Amino acid sequence: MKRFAVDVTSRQFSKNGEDICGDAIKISRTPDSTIIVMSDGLGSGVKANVLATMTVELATGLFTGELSLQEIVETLIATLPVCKWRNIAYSTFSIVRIYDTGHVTVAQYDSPILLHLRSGNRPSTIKSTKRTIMERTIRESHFRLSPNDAVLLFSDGIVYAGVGEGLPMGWQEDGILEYVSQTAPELSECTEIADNVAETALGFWHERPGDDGTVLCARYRKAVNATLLTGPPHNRELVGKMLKDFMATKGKKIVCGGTTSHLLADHLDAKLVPDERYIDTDLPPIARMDGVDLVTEGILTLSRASEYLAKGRPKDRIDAATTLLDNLESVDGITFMVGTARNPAHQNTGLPDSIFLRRTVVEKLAKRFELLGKETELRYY
Amino acid sequence: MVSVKCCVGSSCHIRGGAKTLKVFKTLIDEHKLADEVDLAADLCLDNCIQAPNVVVDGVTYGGITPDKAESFFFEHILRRKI
Repeated sequence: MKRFAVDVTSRQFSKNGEDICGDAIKISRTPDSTIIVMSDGLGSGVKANVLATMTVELATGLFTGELSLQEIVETLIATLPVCKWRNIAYSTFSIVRIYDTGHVTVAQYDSPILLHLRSGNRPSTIKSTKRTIMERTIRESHFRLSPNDAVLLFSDGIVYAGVGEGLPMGWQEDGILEYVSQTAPELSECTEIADNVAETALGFWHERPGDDGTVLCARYRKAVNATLLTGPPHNRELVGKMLKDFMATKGKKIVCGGTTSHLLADHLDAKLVPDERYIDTDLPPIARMDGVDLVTEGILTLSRASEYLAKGRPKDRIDAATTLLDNLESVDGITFMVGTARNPAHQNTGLPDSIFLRRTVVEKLAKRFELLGKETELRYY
Repeated sequence: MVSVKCCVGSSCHIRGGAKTLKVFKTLIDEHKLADEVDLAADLCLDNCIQAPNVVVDGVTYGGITPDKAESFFFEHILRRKI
């Protein structure tokens, strides 16, 4: 399981009178890093948006080809069209790659600086070196993030916020740095920082932005993982090992299964207390047990959780499956410890037999969590 | 005090265990027996093959579907109380 995660949030606004933003962002994840590409297309509206989107898509695509950052930048520069009239590129870009180790590499072309935010410290600008690639100046930087540090990126529309609206030179990079150091000394949530910066920029523009604006905040933090234990092992002799393995895991502990929860309760000499408030739902209730975060019934609850992930959960509904999802949706990685014993009573129930194949149900659920960007691991007993 | 455990685990739930539990709860309320019958749900009473299961004072009874719940209540739970 990953030990670190990167949360990315962004806010955008379009130039006054335009429906579509001329800046584009694309976030992609590789097994060992998070890649953020931001681009500002020349001009505004649809044309700018197409150019910026093309740039971020191209850059992101190049990363899948295992090219080095330099090769990617070279390819981008060589590929991006140049405005013949103004002799400038049709779009600018910032590529930020945050490795799970905290190491960050940045390549920027004609883009505003980025800020390094650390709780309790004044935000700092990142030192960069200039390099000329195909007659274009690229700024490169390498630095390290500690857990809970963040990186703040913004486009021209933020730097020049207020031009023509009372701020002759616009907000400027120094102004943004000052603002962030005063408003976020303790580094609140990423969303808040991005929201505040975008709102303030809009304020300088008197809500009539003269350019498209984008703010993006990426926070590096320790990953939160969960382990879900379900089903007794196929070989009863493995019960002790399975329970020991489960209790040795770090992070959230969730048990899905009646028999499994009783085995664990015996192992821990703990009491299992079903939650009365869940009795009136059409799923078996959740239960509480010291030493674990949540206990639910197994196969029906897991199947229902999978269904909710696929089709959306009914509004205002609270049952064991919604509670299970509440517990899992906030984590970065889930290890499923799956016991493969079959319960002979799960036959001739009038329901399809496939429902009772724990393995199938869990694999489907894991796939759905992967689609939500979570890392999953399956271990069978 | 009579202890009644009603299983609502996978097998019992599918075969009506939760409804059986509800019938017991209604009867306890109707007859004002809350102080005399300790009713609790359980996620497995280890007798899945005969689901839905009810354990009264440590004795397991299988096949207590909702339609049999009322008669079971009077026969096995109330009688114990008396």
